[in-house]
Amino acid sequence: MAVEKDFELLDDYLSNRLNGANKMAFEKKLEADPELKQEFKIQQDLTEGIRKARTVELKSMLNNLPVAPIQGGQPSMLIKAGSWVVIAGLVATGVYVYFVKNDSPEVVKEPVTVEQPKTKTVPPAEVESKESEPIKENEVPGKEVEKLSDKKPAETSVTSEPAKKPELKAYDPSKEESAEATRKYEHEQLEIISKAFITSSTEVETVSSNKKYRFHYLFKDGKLVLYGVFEKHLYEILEFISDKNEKHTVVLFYKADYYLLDITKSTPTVLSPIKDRTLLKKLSEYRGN
Amino acid sequence: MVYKLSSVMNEKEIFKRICKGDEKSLEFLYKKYYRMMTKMVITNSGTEEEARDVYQDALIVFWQKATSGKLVMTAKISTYIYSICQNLWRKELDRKKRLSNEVKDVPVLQDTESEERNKIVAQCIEQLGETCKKVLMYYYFEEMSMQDIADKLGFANTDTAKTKKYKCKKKLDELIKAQYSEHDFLD
Repeated sequence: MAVEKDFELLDDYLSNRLNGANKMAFEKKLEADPELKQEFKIQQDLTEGIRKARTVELKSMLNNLPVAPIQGGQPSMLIKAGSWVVIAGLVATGVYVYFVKNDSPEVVKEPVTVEQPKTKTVPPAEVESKESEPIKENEVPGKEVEKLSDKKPAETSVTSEPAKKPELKAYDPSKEESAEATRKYEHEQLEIISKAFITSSTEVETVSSNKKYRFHYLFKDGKLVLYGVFEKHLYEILEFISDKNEKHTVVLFYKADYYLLDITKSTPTVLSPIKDRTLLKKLSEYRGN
Repeated sequence: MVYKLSSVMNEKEIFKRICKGDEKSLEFLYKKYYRMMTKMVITNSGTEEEARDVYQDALIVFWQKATSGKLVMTAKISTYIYSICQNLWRKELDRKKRLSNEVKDVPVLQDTESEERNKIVAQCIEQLGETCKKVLMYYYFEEMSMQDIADKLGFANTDTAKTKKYKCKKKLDELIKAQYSEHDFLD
């Protein structure tokens, strides 16, 4: 006859929280107690169901992450469709060019023959190009049609115009060190790094809520404080200490850039990426990339 | 002389976060090793879809072991995940081979009762609230400690987490038993 304690043990057993002798003892009891065995089947369904549901949830989360397609793999349906649009566009343009060169002037001036390939090829090219890089080639046939046709230039210029404008960033030179001083400083760090051992024991705190400092840092009581939304992309701190513990260089690796962190800065200081190529190469070697 | 410890520390940091059930770190790892892991399957006669599936399964195995506190990392994370991928893909290739060798006239026996039970359990889980689902998933899948569950879900303490888990489990238990009873799955 199963008692309350047995049901608790059953829960521990199914959640892999029973070990060694306790686990064996429970398995023996399970074999000998039909009531407990029946309950075991139900509870096993329950725990397995939860595990399956969680697996589905995690897989769905991973499936929603953007990843680069693998080279040499099967092309996706989108790319296949895009390729067909490119081919169709090229054929249509070719046919059009053929008629322009060989047929009578009436055919060239006929708006239907000119507009047909354009209206058929350009819109899908626009839709596809948002999804995938290779399909950008689709713009080529569209542009050729545009050049060949004098009709409706305004319409074609809208479709072939680049969609995005470059983002402009405000720059305040007074807050920055001169380029020459920065180069010199970076070069000095290279010398330290070359003769140092590398570690990462710096305690880091991130402050994402500060509206004024969005990509800054400071050192406070030996702790590094990073201002900005760093949590979304994992960052790395590389700490270089010279053999005699005299020099100390801290570098932040974030996204694809390295930032030198001056440990003497106790007020929010803007993070600026390292530009010295030799130093960048060295850091990249140390990171193992 | 240069001692290279940073990548180890970085791996440690990621592993530490994974152990605490930080899904952002899981996403980071997924993207970081996607190419490396899927390529192994593709170069061994798998499709990209199969490769993705194997990699995701391997990563989830790693995640589950790490969150349950049963994993002590002695090698690099990528080495560990890669070996799981290899094992899973070998199993899948064996399964495919067996299937192609089987006599096709033999009908495949399907355990319809088991399928029906699975369906009922899945429907009952769906009836639970989001917090309940999370508590039970963290407890039974991630096998997290009550402290970690409390931290992750913002409960005041471990006692709150324990009570919540008890109540959610009881609710799910009742839902399942009521459905099993309707379908005559209870003897």
